[in-house]
Formats: sequence, structure tokens, C-alpha cells
Amino acid sequence: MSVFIYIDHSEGHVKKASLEALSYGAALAAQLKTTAEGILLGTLTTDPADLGKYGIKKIHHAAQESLNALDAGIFAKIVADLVSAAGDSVLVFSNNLTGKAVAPRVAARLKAALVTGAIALPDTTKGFVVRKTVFSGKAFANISLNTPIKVIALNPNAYTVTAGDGKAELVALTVTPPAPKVRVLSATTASGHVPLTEAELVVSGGRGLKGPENWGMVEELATLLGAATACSRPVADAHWRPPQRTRRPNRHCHCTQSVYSHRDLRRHPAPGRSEPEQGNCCYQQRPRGALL
Amino acid sequence: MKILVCISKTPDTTAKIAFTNNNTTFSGDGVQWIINPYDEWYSLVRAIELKEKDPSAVVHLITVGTADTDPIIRKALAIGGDEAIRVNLDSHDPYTIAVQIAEVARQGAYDLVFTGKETIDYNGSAIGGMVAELLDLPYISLATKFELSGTTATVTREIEGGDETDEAALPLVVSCQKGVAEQRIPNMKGIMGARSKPLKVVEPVATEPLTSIVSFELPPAKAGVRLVPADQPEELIRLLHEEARVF
Repeated sequence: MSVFIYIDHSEGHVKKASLEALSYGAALAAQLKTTAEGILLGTLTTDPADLGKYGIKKIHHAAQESLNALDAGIFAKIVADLVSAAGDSVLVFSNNLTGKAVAPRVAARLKAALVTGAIALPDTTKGFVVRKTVFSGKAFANISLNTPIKVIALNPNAYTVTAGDGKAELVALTVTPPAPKVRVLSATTASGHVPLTEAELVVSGGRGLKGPENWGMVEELATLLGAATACSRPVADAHWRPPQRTRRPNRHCHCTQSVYSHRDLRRHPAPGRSEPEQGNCCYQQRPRGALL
Repeated sequence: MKILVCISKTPDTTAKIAFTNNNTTFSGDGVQWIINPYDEWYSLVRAIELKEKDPSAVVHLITVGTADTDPIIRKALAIGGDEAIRVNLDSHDPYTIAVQIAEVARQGAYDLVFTGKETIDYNGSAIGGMVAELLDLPYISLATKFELSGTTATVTREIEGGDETDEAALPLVVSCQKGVAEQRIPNMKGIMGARSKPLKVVEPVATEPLTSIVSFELPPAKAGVRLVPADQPEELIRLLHEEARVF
């Protein structure tokens, strides 16, 4: 059995969520007593062989610039052709925005079992069972993948990046992609902020801040901590915050830690505690594994 | 133009999450069931808006479920849509569900297939991509804006830290999220009309599930809240540094 990890990148840099997937895939390969191999479509500004420090031995690299723009159908075909040639395999994606587009297509193409939102390494003691979050983080499900080829999409921030030493062998992947059916017209990204989907730490606020003019303290704290900002749903609906940079964490990311304003915690009061007095500030450390 | 909108039945967002049968089945006791919000508020409404702009367009709804989903389908028809199709199958395997939807879409030769971003119960976010692959159609996920000019769609989708605007020709599969449309409340005319709109029940095509649910678990109890007076920021900093270890 082989373990493949899809390497997602943007503007020449591998995304943090993908480094997590690489570390996860390397650990899974060790668990299955096999080796981990990466699949890289497009070009990086750094040497892809350096990704070997995350525990992967080989990278199948299709180094065409035309593959820097996502076309899920084309990507799925390339990945599926490579994986199917290897026989029984586990294919790991990050469950980020790219993974959500590509992983299901690959799974359908290969008629492979798929679990999205994985938060832990599989339990292989009795079959192949992967734990994921369900009911928007209110519960967990243990899903058995019952096909020779299995696809796992790992939730961002669900696995710690583990870097060591080592270089990966680069294997040129020769592909002739067809003309894309989806044409990218433009892309805009906000600079100077940590994207919520890449954040390890989030500072969130709610209506207790009274108005958007008071949001500076949230942003200042986030800047000091190197965190992303988020907000409660009423704040988002009231358009106090731009929708791209501030969104309820449970929409997209699995964050290990958050700092909330006291108004937010009114919505989730701890059992036996009264609501906080006005002017107090609360913090609550969430147990790892809970989707916020 | 023919539009197919995928509709799912999900527990209400405030439903108590509990499991039965030795934690292998979601307990529906006391649960109020709703249309998956991403399907109702965004996919369905956008399809209706397209039909309002082009009255010759046809909007069909599809659900994969058993007869207990019929009330949810009628609620969706009350918001809009010309008819509904229910594939008579109870499944939580995304591939199985996608095969059923793809078969209906293929037979109906739909130009546009809308799904919600994900269902709020199993959070799979897989159906749209799988359906697109089974139909060999382009797929744009997590759309926040959808415009149509003739047979060309211009779709804005979410990317990390921003947005991307894409263009694709029909036929096309799109998953929708906040921004595509604004939620609509069904009016009395819609509610009354929903009763007489066709709801066709079809039997599923044969396929084996690729995944199975072994068990469910509830998360551990949350840690207690610590209150820090607003005039003691240094205490907050100490807690963040020494206990939460955020810096």
C-alpha cells in the first residue's frame, strides 16, 4: 500500500494546511509501514525537494505553470491516474478550499471511499476507520473506508506540522492537461492578515463590542498574537466586519485555541456560571479536537 | 434552461445531538427537521432568481431520502421550483448519494446543478464534486456569487484570504454558500401551490456504499470560563501566556 499526499500551494508557497497534510501522510505511512509520496502540480518558488523534511520520500511533480490555477477536473484526472497506477493506496488532501474541490472528484473517479474533515490518524486495528467532526463540530463520527483506494481530507489545524531533515526525490510527472473548462478571470486576496483558514490562533469578538468602531482592540490583540480575527454570526450579519477576513471559525477551520469577547461567551455559558458582568473579559481554552 | 437543485433534510441547528443503537445512529427524538440551510437559502433561491429572470427556465428539486423527507421537499417547493424528485433511498455514503443525483441529472439533461456548500449534519462538502465527476462536468465550489449570461456562467468563489472570479460554460455544477442569494420566506401562494406541484418518487440505481459509519461520539465537556476584570489586563496577558500558551 502507498500513501500519497496532494501538495496544495498558492503563489509559489506551500500552504500551511498542506504541510499539515504532509506530516499526517508521513505519520500514516509509518503506521502502515510504507513510504509517503507527494503529488505536486504547478511550480514553487522554492525547491520542492526540501519538502522531504516533512517525512516524504518522493514527490511526483508536474512542473507546468498552467497548473498553478485550479481546475478541479484536470487536477482530479492527473491525481487519479497516478494513484490508480500504484494499486492499493491512501490519498491525503487537506480539507481546505482546494481539497474540497478536488478530493471528491478524485474519489468519484476512482470509486474510492472518501472521508472529509478527518481530525486524527486512522485506526487500522480493525479495518480502516477515520474520525471526523460532524453536526458542525458538536459530535464526532468514526467512518470506515471500505475500498482498496481510500481518500482522506484532513481538517486544517487538526494535525501538527512535523519537520525534520531530509530531501525528497523528485520524479517528473509528464502530463498533457486538456484545455481547462473553468477559466480564471481574476483573483483578489487581502494582504497583511492571517487567513482564517490558515490560522492556528483566532481572536474573536461579538456584539459586546457595541460597534465596528471598537474593533480595533480585537485587531490589535490579533496582530500582537499573530492571530486571525473572527466574529460572531450576528456581527457578520450586521456587516460590522468584512466577510472574507472575519467569519465564525466553525465555518472553515479547526482552531486549537481561541480568545473570545465576553459577549461571545454569553452564547455558550459554562454550566453553573452566571453571565459575565459588563466590562469583564473572558477567555476559554477549548479542548483540542472540538471544531469551534 | 433546466436547473437541478439538490436539497437535504437536516436537524435544526438548535437540535440536541444524541445517538442511539449503541451510538451508531443519530437520535431523531424531539428533533425538528429543516431544509439544509445552504440548500434553502442559497442554492434554491438563486435557482428561483434565474427562473424569474428567464421564465422559460425549469427548476427541479432532488432529494435522496425516504418518505419522511417529503414534508421538507414540500417546504422547498413552497419557496420555489416546478417539481421535485425523491430518490427513495436512505444513505449517508456520499458516493451513493452522488450516483443517484448524477443518474437523475444525466437522464434529465440539466444545464445547471446547484448544491449547498455542505450539509450542516455531516459536513461532507463532497456531493457537488462527486456529481460533477460522474457527469464529467466542470465544477466550481463554494460560490459566493453566480451570474449567467446566455450559456456562460461567471462565478465568484472563495479562496484563502480572498475571492476568485471564474468563467465556465454550461452545463456546470456549482456549490453555493453565503453571498449567492438572500434567504426567502415562502409566501401563502407558494405554500398553497406546493401541495399540488409534482413530487416524483424514483427507485435508486444499484450501487454499493463505499463508507460506513462505525460509531458516533460526543465531545468532552468544555472547560469552565475564567472571568478577568477589565481593569486587570496584566492578568489576562499572564493567563494567555502561561496557561493558554498562545504566545
